[in-house]
Amino acid sequence: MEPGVLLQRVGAGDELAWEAFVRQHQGRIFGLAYHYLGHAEDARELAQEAFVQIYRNRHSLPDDSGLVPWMLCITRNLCMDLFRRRKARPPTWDIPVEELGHLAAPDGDPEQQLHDQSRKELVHRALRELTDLNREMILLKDIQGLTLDEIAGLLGIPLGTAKSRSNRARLELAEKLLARGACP
Amino acid sequence: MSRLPSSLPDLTASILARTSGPTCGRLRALACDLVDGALPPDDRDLAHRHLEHCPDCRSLVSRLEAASEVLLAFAQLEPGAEFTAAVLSRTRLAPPFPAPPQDRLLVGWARLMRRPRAALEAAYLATAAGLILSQVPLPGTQHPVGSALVSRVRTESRASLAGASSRVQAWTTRAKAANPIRLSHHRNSVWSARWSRLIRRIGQAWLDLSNAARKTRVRFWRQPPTSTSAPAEPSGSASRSAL
Repeated sequence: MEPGVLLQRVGAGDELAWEAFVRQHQGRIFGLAYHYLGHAEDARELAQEAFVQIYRNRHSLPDDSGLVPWMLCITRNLCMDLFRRRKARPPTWDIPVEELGHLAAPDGDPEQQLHDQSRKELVHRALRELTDLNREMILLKDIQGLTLDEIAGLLGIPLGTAKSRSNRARLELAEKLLARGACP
Repeated sequence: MSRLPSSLPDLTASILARTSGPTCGRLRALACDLVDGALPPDDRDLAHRHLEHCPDCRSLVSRLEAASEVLLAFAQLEPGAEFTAAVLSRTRLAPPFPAPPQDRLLVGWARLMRRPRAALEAAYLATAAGLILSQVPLPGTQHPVGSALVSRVRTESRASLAGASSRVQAWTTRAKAANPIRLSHHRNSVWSARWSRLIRRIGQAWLDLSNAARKTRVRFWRQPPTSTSAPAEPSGSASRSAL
């Protein structure tokens, strides 16, 4: 089904379309929430809340190109609200890297899977060493694939600032990988 | 004298060291765009030429490329088997759609009007609108509405004040003619009447006392008063002798 048609049917109140919509986007919403919160159960709860908010606004969903940034914006705002209530960000993530790799690994050659697993583990550990600001930029641009325009709108910063922050974050990540002496 | 470089890369490095310095900083600034394929052809060509001879920058760029590839795999995480069912059950319990936009406008307007400051704001807006409109010239004249209004108010208020003043003066004259003391000196006249009455009573009491003292003296000393001295005797000496 075309994404536009699915959105129309969601907006019209089709329950089956809504279920398909949830299954299509739940991995991305949960992934963003988990990378912000660092706690799987909190991320699940928050992702559910994000879908409830999306459902409440389903009669005015953005078009297909603006849908993902809009949903990510809702999820991020919920994360920021949670941080404000807790007055602190969590220090570490609770899902082991092995589990992360297993959850997202495609089916294929076991040797290739092992190689992919080690690469992900390496990058994931380097990612955990970044500052919150740089990790957020990596999360929004390189993981979720938002454009710099979308990130600038989401964070409320100028486009040039978003670009320089993104470049700085990527270079910091590459330097962390260099310091580990291995190439993923 | 400095030692001659043994090879071409060493020569390049020594020339750069004596001119612009190492160019790795410039490559770092372009590295992300190079990996993303967003560099103009000339810059890309120059960056590749630098990378051929700089192993450090090559390592940096290779790690940027690898990280970009791996990071995409972190975009979607499986939230668990129960997640979809939990979302569907929560959205089934969610409140129905909010009102359509037209109704929401009406609801928002009603909510705005219910605010306590709405009357104050309306009065402020009405005053501001009146002031602005008063400065608009009347059609066919150079004078604004405001000046005509102000001059009319001034003329009518002067006439009204003059009429009121003459009426008050007439009332005052009539009242003075009818009862001048009560009207103009009512409070003073009351007090002065009381005072004079008190003085009269004191004088009367003094005379009664002096008469009693004279009768007593006549009765006990049996000296008939002379016909000339009694009326001429001052009241002060009589009272002193009586006391």
